[in-house]
Amino acid sequence: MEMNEICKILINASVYAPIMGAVLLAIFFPFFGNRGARVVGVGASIISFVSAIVLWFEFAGNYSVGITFVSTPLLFDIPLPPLGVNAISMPMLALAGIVGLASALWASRTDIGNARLYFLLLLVMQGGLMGAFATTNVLWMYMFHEFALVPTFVATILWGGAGKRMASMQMAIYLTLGALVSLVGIIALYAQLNATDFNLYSLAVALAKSPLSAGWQYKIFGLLMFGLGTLVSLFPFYSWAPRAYSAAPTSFAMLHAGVLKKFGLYVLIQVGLPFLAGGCLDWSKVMAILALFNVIFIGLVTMAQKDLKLMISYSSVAHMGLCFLGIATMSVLGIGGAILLMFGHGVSVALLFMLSNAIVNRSGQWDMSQMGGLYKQTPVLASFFLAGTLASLGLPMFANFWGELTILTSLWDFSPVICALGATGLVISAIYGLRAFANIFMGSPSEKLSLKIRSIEDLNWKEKLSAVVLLSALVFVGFCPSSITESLNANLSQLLTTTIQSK
Amino acid sequence: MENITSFEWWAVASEASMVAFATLTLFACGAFSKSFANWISLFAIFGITATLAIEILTTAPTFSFGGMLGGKSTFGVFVYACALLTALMSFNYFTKGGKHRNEFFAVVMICTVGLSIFVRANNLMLAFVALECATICLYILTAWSKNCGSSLEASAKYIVISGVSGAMMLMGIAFVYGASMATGRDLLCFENFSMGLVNPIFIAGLALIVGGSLFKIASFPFQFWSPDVYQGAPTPVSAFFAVASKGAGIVFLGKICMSIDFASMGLLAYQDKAVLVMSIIAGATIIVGNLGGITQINTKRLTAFSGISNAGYLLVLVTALLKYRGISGLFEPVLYFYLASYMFANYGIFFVMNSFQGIDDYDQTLADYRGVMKKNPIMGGSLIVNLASLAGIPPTAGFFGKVLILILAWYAQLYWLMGIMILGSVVSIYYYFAWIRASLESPDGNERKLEPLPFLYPTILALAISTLLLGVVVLYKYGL
Repeated sequence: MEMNEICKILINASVYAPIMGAVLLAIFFPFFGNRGARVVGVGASIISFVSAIVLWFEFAGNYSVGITFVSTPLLFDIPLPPLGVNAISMPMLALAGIVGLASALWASRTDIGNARLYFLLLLVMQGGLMGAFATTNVLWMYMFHEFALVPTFVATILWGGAGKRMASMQMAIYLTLGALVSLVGIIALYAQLNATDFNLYSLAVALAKSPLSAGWQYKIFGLLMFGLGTLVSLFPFYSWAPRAYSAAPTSFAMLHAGVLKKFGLYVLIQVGLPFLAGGCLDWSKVMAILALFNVIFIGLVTMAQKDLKLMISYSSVAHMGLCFLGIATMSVLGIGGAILLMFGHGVSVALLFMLSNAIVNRSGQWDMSQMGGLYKQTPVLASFFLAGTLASLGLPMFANFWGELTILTSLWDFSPVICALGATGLVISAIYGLRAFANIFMGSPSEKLSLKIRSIEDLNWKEKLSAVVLLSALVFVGFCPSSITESLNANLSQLLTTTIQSK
Repeated sequence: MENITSFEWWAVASEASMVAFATLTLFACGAFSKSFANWISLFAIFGITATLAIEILTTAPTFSFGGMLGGKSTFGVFVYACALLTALMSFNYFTKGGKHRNEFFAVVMICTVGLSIFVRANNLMLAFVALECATICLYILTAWSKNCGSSLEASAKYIVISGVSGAMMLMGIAFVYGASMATGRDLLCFENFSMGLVNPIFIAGLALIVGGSLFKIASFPFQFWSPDVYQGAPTPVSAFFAVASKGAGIVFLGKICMSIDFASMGLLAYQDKAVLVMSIIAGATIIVGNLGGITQINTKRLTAFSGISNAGYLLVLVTALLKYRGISGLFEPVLYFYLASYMFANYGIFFVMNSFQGIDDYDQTLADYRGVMKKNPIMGGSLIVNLASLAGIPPTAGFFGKVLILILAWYAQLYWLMGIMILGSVVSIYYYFAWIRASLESPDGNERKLEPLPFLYPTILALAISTLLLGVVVLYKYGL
């Protein structure tokens, strides 16, 4: 069989393996023990992961401009959502596969009550995420996003930590508002272009026939920016995120903060950029200023946090600002950097959420100032945590570094002042990241902790395995960013020249 | 010369069959002893099902009975399906202690015929008579738990309110009739409406008629009765109110808006005013319904407020038609799609509501739903899916209903109204979500007991599955 054909099968497998797993668990719910559910859950995410990685390497090896591996599978003659990837969605699909595997591995070791339902929801969420990045139909992107979103609400209610009632409600309201506003934006794009359907290709055909006026581009991009911005916790619509992430069960927090949150940025780049380039240019200053609030204001808020999970949640809000700054520059370098950072940040924040949960479980503490001295007991945990922290503050050798570097470089052309202000974010994140590490692992244990510090154990092999999966992805892209950037460069250059010419 | 045999009697085959079955059921109640009661119930259910089949299989001419009656629409199927679901749901109500099951079926059947004729009527006078027929049945049904104070109170309230709305409508019809004297045309017929628009008396009459139907769908400023009536009425009747009665009102309203064409008469200034008024009503209905829902913990009142906000979403659709006639081809499919999704979701919820212990559910609160998912996964799952549909979460039918309305509203350029609709949906997440959360939480032992009838499980599952699949199926049909 040709490689292209295999890839078409793989792209379907990556999306439908988790969904089939979920269906299997749902239909034969009574027949699964917790052990069986774990096997199905981890098995489906391994299929997803392997398919996504093979696709990624195949794509990086011989990419082309535009959407490849296009396939519209049939189920009893009913066409399922059209699938296909381009340079923008490929890294995201890989990200979803990697974080999905890590969170399933993580979930397979923890002793959760009702593991069957947990894995069912986790698989629905992962299927939704893979689908959202793999489909080429904008309405389906939205629907897959909601598939991934709804399990988070349910899981937070059922297995959530402190403050779960309020957090899940707040998350539901904010995210539905954001999703519905962006839905209006998508409908507006469709109706205003007079497209035959919501497929990216059909939208492009319709755009070629009748370009959108500058006024419409401005309005629709505004809708998308604020709607999707709420999903990505753009300032001032961020307040749901910290609470939700610290209340959600770990696997869901990993998937949500690591992958689902990138969906808003992804749609902005995948849909907003080619169809509404004029609108993006008009909004870029506003976007840049709001994003600076994310970077600096939320950065300062992060520094003030004592609670470990809240700190990581706030830091993930702060880092989203840099991605928005990259998009605001409307340059190959900026947008490419945003995608690299989305990948790097997604993996590193998932790693940090996972490890912070391990720390909290072991020490029984949320407050970082009440910890300390854990390094002696848990050297492996400490070194993974340090690696995750260093990655998220942009040390060379990790994926995040390339993203932050290219975004800041592109910002210089956009506006030197904004570039300078944006760079302070790196300093701020270095402060809170390293201080957290010092508080938790260095020094001597606090009074409370010193009583039980002898009994604290290091990571077990399953935890180590999921940490290794995440860390190796970070390091791989850190050493070999061309696996993402080469195809991205070609795609974005072509995209931006055509859109800016038509402007 | 027309006489009684020259009418196209087969045009009302389904209505006639329903009336025949209802009469036979009533007759059987009197003629046979109590031991035959179950057979009579079976006969009544068979009658409704047979009528539904006749409605689907037969066709009717566009006009019949000398132009008094219009052609068939999807509404017939919709309303008979409602009757069937109400009848099935009422089995639980009667196991809990309700009296006179078979008479109840007969009244529901007559009421259904009234609503069906009301929507099919091509003449305002016939529409009014049919509507009153249905309304009187609804008075009786509301007061069915006659030993329960809240049921009687609800019925009394409904009589007063519905009397006012009937009087308004009748006054409007009188105005329209009066206007016909001046124009020399029978303005009572829908197809002549556009010609009457030049006459201010006709417009005043039409406004009164629209006001009367706004009562029926419980839209602002005539929404205040619905929480009280839904709360007091027996639960199957509340469901019938929420779906069939509201559906009839909105379809009638849509029919009026279809018939008036301002542009053909060169009255664009009037059109702008009508659109403005309808937009305000639709917007206010959405706001009132959703804000009212926030503070509710009583589930029956909550569904009433949810019904008010859904009436608002449907009014957005009607406003879109009024503003931009280019969507008239899409109006009916979208309307019936929304109504179908609304029917599945609401009946799904009411079935669960009706399964709780106690003859009247008027003081049921969200706290009673704690742990439903754990205690009975079929009930709990169906409840959650249907609530998600009302909240508009994909891939349920409710989501697609909202998307389709938003698309048409965009074509009609009702941007502000879309904004209100979006904000309203977000507010509604609050109370639907509280309900979903309650049913997912673990029980604390103080809830009412669930007493489901296992033979209704297939129905409940079918409703949930329809809610899940309807949207996706239509998505493919329209090829979005």
